[in-house]
Amino acid sequence: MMLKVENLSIHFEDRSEKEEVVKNVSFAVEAGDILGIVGESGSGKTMTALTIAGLLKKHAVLDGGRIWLDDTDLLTLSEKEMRRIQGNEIGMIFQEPMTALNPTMRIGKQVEEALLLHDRPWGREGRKDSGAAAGKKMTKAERRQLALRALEEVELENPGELYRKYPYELSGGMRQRVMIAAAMVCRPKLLIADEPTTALDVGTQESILNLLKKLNRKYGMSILFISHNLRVVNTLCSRVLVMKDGQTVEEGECREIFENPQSEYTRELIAAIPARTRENRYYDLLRRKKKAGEPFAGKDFGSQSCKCLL
Amino acid sequence: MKYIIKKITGLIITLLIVSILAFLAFEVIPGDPARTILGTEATESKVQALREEMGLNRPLWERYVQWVKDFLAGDMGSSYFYQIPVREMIGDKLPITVAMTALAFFFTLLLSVPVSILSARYENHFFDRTFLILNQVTMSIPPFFIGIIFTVVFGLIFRWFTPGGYVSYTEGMAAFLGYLILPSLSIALPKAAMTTKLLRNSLISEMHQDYVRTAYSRGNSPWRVLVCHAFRNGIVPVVTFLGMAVADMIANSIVVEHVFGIPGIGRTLIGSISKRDYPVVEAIIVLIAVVTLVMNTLVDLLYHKLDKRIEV
Amino acid sequence: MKRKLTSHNFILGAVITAIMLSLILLGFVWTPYDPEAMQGSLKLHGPSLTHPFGTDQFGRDILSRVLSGAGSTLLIALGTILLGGIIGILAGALTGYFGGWLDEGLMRVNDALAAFPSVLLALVMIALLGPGTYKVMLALGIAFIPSFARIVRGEFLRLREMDYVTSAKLIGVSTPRILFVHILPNILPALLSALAIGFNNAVLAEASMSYLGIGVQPPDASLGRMLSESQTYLAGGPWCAVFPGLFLVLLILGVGLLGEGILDQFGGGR
Repeated sequence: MMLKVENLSIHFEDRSEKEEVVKNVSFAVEAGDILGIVGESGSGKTMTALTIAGLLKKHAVLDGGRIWLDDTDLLTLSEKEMRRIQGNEIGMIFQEPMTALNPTMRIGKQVEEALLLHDRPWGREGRKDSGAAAGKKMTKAERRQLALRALEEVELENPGELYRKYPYELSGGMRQRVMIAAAMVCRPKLLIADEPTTALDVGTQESILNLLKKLNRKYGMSILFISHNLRVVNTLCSRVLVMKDGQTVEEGECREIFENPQSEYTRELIAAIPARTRENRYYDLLRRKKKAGEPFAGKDFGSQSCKCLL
Repeated sequence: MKYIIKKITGLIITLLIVSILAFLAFEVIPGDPARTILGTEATESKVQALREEMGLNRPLWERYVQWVKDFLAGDMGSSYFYQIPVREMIGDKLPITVAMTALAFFFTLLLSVPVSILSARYENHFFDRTFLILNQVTMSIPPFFIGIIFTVVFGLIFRWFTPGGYVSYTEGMAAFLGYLILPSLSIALPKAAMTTKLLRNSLISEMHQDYVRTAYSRGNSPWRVLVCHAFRNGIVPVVTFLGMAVADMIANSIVVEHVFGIPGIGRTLIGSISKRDYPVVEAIIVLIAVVTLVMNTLVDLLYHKLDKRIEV
Repeated sequence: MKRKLTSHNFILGAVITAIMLSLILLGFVWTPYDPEAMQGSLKLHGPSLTHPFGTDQFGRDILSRVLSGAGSTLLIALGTILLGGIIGILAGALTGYFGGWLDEGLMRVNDALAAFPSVLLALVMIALLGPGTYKVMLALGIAFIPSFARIVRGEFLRLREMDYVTSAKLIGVSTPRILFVHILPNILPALLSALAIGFNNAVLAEASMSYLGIGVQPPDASLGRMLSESQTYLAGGPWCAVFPGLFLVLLILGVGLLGEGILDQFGGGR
């Protein structure tokens, strides 16, 4: 059991109105596992993720519960102790790659920042107690090396050039990869991903998901994947947790949940996925015709529409 | 690179416009310089002779070009009143005003940066609220009034300095700068208040941005986020303000010089205005304009260096 | 459009400005003593019941002189923003809304002048025209135009792209009407705020120039000149300087807060 959340409850203190955001949420993530948390907006999934990452804002109040990372209850840690975990044992990537990176700081510097803050060469050998520097301090060159390697691992080309670039020079997909590189540079046990593909186009989405899968397999890094998109979760995750209105609805293996949804809500969610419709079937038909080189009947229908069906 | 070229070209064009305006204002409008120099008693032939000598009968654009050429070479004409080159008149006074303005700028940064950072860090706490009020009041005080208050408090009550006891830099740099501290502070305090307000707001606004949350997720402490991340982004609007503030500080130093009896170009300027000594006024104003415009261009370039996205 | 009065700046600014304005306006019709009346026996007396601000080196009542001097200041500052404001709005509206080569040309000239502090531009004009109350007002008014026009232009530029403007154009609303009935009311808070800043700059500039002796001339009263005259007597009578200065500070403070408060309270039409 690597991450275990027990009875987590949070509410907002907004002008003396108590708004419950997360109610009694419990779940667990095994080492090397990928857990997806699915729900609509307002379901409390993001708040839960932020709480685990220690990024809770001031007006959110913890009502109770525990968050176990191995054998440490994160909620009992002081700010300083939690900082040793952030970026180190737990990494996080966010939804909007456009704004989530510092616009005036070079890519390389942002990727290696966690190394600077936690000053540890990667590998679990140095991880005796979180935060204690195992071995000597890293030199600037060593950090740069590790940053370049991290950029390579997220499948970015020309890491050397990228190192000196600024975020605005990169596309959305590239920025998201940079974020992943930066979050992973200290080889965290857990990567929390808060809707990282929502702001990307479908093609890029696929490649990012594949990347995450690859990293999970290669390094045994657990992933907590937040999304409102069931299909995406199905692609990536082994287990899934469904949340609604701050409470957990259902939890289980991905396939189980999709084939045998136990709760009414889950069934509704699944039913809402755009299924194969009649238009879709025609789409398939046209694609097959195009492949076979068959001409299209009808005036002005053919040549132009043909191109866009690819 | 394209950006830099664009900015510098803009600077040159604006300088040209300024020079044309200044030329028209001072060489053309005020009337016949020859008559002014010779006085009302002069005979007509003497006036005409002087006009020829000064080249006043040449076509306007020719005079303009000549004037620009002379100016660039360092010849800023001669005073109507004293008949000595303007250059001599203001040569030794210019460094003093420059020193005071530079000192004022330095104090502005020295005071505003730490206070803004602390205010942003402890937003809405005691420190921040106190300074909010303090800043608003300070920026409402005219610099020369601050100078007078300083004179009363530090000169008369505490006797830390003798009002009017200016020390020239020839007698000792330390004493020279020492005397300039209070005048520079008079100029700096209101500007520092404005800068603090601007910077504090900018920093707080930056702290709400997404990239700040990302920075926290890597394990940055609030201080580190403020200083290493938010600051560089937050200082951008302040840089523009500071660029314009320099011109203002030059203007203020003219007045403050009077409060403390400092022989900078301020005194010369005012005297020349009263005496209608146009070449001197013209030279000083053009110099100030040049400095102002160059500063603004430098600010624009700095802007670009801080945040490469800025294009205009 | 009823909105709750929430801005502290606005309330405080309005109150202070109202007080100062009433005092100054009062000063136009009545002062406790004749500002010029010299009473030899009362030279350099500190604040007292009969003379709340004390007397100066000639025995003149400082309170009366302050009220009178502030009157000049107010006149000049208002004149400045009126003159600069009207021309600035016209220039800014036309260039911002229409753009084109007129915009390019004017803006180049504008930028050349806008960076220049108003005091210096005013000095240039005083140098050419000579000192005096109305000349100062003219000089400062003209000096105010560049910065104000730039702000107005910016606002018109921003708003001409708005949907409601496009709709109005499509319906066939005449251009002057679009400019003044549709756009202007929405940028009013930003403009008023800029006018407040202009007002304060004018107050400061006028005080500086009068202090230097090239602003308002005697017999017209002026706070700046009072400060200048008081300098020789600082040891014996600091109140000669303190009260005029304090009055200036309060006036600038009030208007400054008001300007900010307008933005807080009424937004920027955003």
